[in-house]
Amino acid sequence: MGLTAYAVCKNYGETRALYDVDLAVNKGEFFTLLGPSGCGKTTLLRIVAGLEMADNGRIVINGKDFTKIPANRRPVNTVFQSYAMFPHLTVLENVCFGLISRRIPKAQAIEKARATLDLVRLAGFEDRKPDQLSGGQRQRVALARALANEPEILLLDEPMSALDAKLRVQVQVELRQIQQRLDKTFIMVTHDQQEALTVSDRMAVMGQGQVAQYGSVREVYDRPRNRFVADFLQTQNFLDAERVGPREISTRLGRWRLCEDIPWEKGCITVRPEKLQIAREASACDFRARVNTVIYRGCYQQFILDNGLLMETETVLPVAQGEELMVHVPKDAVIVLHEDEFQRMDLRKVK
Amino acid sequence: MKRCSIGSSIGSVAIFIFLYLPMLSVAVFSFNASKMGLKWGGFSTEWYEKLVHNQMILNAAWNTLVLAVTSTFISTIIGTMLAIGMFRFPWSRRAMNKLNVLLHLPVVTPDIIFAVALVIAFSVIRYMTGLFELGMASMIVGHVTFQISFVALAVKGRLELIGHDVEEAACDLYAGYWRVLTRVLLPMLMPGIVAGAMLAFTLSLDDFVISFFTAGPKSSTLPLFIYASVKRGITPEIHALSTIIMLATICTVAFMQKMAPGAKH
Repeated sequence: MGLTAYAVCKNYGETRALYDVDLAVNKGEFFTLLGPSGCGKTTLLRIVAGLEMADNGRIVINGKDFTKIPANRRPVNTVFQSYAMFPHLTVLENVCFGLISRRIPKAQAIEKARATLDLVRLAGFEDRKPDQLSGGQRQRVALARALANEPEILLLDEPMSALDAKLRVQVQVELRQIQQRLDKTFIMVTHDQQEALTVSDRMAVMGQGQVAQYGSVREVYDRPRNRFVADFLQTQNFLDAERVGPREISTRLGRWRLCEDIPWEKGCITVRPEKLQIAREASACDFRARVNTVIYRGCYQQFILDNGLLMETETVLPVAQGEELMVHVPKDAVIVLHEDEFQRMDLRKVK
Repeated sequence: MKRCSIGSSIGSVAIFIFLYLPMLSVAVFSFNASKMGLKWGGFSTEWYEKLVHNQMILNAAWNTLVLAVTSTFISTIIGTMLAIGMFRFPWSRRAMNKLNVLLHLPVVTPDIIFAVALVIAFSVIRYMTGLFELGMASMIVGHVTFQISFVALAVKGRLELIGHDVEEAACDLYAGYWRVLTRVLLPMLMPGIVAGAMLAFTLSLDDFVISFFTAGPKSSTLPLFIYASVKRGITPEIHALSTIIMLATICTVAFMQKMAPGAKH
């Protein structure tokens, strides 16, 4: 067991930052807290780090209760959003800081720090000061400074928000590789769904101080549970629907068959734009629509249809503005959204 | 646009002349060989030599230095502690506002009021305990009381600049309070602390009002000495002394500018 947080609550005066959040992260797992700004994800991370104390609830790391223990005695280390380098110390001294704090002999600490700098490919930068490094290098020093202590859990608070888009993709892959090589538990906070999908095993989508959905990245991406999660993961097309059979719904675009049970009489469904297909024959046509706008995106093209839906196909298909399309909606493309906003994690299910 | 910028540059030069011409003339007259007033009698360093042999002036200079160094040392420590305590403890907003007023009050209070208040406080203490004659000790206490605010304000500026992150990072890296303070906070605050100390030092060096009220019979400082001599007539010796003090002040200010927070980052 890596981390278990039970019913964590946190208020700042009148504002509710976290409301009764449960969280379980397995050992050796890359877990991401994903959500819009102000959803409480950073607060939760800071409570795990001990930089903030929860008003209520418990924090258990590897079976030991750390709820009341301050940050400097917790077996976790953090990569801060701002990197929080010590500007008056060299790179090597920065990386050694945690080791020296724990009274590890100096020679041993330096050896460990050098090895960690090697791991993040920063060997040779030991004697630089942080202000002589680029943003990407500073970020790697911050990572090395935390990893050198071999924490039970590594916490990353929006670690890539200060990097440019190209570098960010590269760092995401590197981060994932480092995590798998070390087989450590990583918990990352981000508002970037692409980043969350790239690096994590499992994730929790948060909103308004609560968790809207837990699950593996594939589960959450393919089957967003409710409107909030679907919206945040940009499924784009939302339709009101009515249940007409056990696995059949009626929308303003016609009757569709689904492959899952429908928990309501009247509700909402969503379909990702790339799941809609152009029907070859009239028998496969689920609805007809005229193309209002064609947007060329390089590796794919998008159509805005006259019924308001958004559709994506490969660029090889020649589709002109004003053309009428027959659209096929595959059974498994339709995602039925639950009405509840938030989900509680079943802590017993996690190994 | 162009005319406006020429006008304003002429204006600012004029203001600088207005500010510095009197001081420059004091420096020039300190090298005047003639003893009386405004007549130029040739270049001479006679007055500087006389200065070095005047025991009263040397005493006053020594007192000034002891007072400035001691009071700066004490006020820097207390002021830094005050700033850290004020801006790192999670005070409520209302308490913070009140503390802020208290911190700024000594800066804006007229010296004369501060001085009179100190005299009253000292005499109450003397009346109650029979100790604490006016002299060097009371002057140091007097100077420290007004210096603390200046030091604390300088350190506060630096504290706000460096933010909380770095301290949190140190905590996260297993550092206890003492290690955070000595290895992270103080080194990072150093430019602010030095700037505050320099400011306190210059303030103490040229303070007249508070020294005048709290001095004892044997603890005359340079400003007090100059005041007393000017009453008997301005001599070139005073010009020489003023020039030296001016130079010392300029040096400290220049050093302070170099160390001031924000200068490096």
